[in-house]
Amino acid sequence: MMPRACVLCIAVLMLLYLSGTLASAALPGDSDTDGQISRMELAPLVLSALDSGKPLSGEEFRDLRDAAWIFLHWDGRSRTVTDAAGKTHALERPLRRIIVMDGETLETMRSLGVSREHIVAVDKYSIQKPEFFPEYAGYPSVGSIWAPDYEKIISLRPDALFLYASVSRAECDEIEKKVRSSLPDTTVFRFDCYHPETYLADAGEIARIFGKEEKFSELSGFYTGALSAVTSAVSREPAPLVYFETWNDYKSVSRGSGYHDKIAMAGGANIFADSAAEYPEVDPESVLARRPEVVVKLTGSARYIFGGYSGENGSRFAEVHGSILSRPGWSRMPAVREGRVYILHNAVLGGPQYIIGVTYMARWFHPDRAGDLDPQGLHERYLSDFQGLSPSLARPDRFIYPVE
Amino acid sequence: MDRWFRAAGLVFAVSLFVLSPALAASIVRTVVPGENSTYQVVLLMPGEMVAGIVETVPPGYHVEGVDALPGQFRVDGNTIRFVILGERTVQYTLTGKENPEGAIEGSWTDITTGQGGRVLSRGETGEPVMQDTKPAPPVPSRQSGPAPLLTSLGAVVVLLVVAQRFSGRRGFP
Repeated sequence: MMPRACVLCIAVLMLLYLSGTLASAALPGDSDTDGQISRMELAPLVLSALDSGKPLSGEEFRDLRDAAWIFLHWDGRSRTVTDAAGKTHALERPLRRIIVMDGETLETMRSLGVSREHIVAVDKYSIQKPEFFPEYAGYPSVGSIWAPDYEKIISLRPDALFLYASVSRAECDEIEKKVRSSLPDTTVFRFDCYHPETYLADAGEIARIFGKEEKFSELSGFYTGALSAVTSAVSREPAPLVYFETWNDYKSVSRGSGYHDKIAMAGGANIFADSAAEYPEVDPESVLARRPEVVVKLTGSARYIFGGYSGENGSRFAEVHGSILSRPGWSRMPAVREGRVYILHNAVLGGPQYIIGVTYMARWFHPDRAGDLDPQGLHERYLSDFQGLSPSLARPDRFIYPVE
Repeated sequence: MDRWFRAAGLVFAVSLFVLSPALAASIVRTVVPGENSTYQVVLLMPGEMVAGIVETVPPGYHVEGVDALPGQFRVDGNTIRFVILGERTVQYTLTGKENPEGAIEGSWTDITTGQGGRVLSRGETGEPVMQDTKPAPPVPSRQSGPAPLLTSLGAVVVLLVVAQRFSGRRGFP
């Protein structure tokens, strides 16, 4: 029989061996396992790689590459990120095979300067917008939130998948569940990247994932500056009554929806704010009864696909505007009588570009006080400084009607 | 024949546009001659990076000193290996012949991407070669040095001249 001390000694040795292996597997290059890759740990590894004279392309350099990246972008430490669903993810390695399943997050990543190099596939709708996402034209598609291509997702073996947090929550939960059952090591992040209240928090956490804090600071300054300009122009003004209609006729928005918040930010009073549903179907008579002073019709989806970045069928703006003015009984509505019916494309309101749409609406809601706001200039700056696109894409006749 | 010159001018101008980002992303070497046959060699990084640099000095030169953090360089005969961990510049001093023969050869690898290339001497970037002045100041931000801007401006001028000459006659062939 083996002496007890000997058994204990073996057990301790095994424990030490295991803990050392796990620690080194957790954070590459952290040889003293103190949870930080220091200068003194990384330098000899790089010198040794230089001595070997081998090109840095094989699997043997993966740890070194990741250690260098973590040193540079995460201050040498692992990173903990909390997504919009409240889930905390501890990251020990940089993400190198990413699938992004919504355009809003993809756009936000581009704003932050996240390299396309590590994005292995995107949703089909982003691919279908070659004017806005030219770099993803012909990219591998994983379908959409509503019809995901699981086979493709799993075959790409992503290390991270980005899904909505609250939009289509049930569908996204299902995707997360199915992907995690096949690929348990894949990190599933949930972000919305469209809601004004949470947009900068979402963008900030995404920036932390990719070590893009500096660019986030620039992006944050852009949003807060634009919002502050709107707020100072409209805050002390009485809010006009606004009827906001989505791309479905007589479907409006209420408190709790992102659009409601955007109307409020622009200094408007949503006439259906207190409806029970987030997107209420409204009775035509009730619209007339509430006597809106401004009407905003949202386009860009369903029966109203025209304009936007593709600029296709731009003549339909006038056609749709005319049909709204001629709705039964609308000639008596204050908004129609005073020529305050506007069309706004969802590209500049629904997603990360909401600040541009809000600035347009602020001008419509408060022409006297917000007339100096420059939504087109803001749009141009967003495209050139954050999206790497031509500012000429910001032509107002593609996004609003009538153009002032 | 004239047409070939014009086409060559256009190709040159376009190549400047294409090459300038590549030059801007390279590590650049400046050699500043000093007294008593000494040379101060300054390596300037294009931005914050983790990289390895191997510099080989020609025979007849001696590495007198290295201005880099301890543990981040190694001198082995006429070869110096540097580890760059976010520094914007590193320097070393050479002593050698009064009339230098041969050139310093260097290569670098960005450890985070595996990409790399040759260390360019300042003259190759379109900037004037430093002869007897103090080392170039560090570039304050990534890829924002004057070289790409000057190169691009030069290319624009060449393009405009070429385009004007073409439009003044028959237009583009």
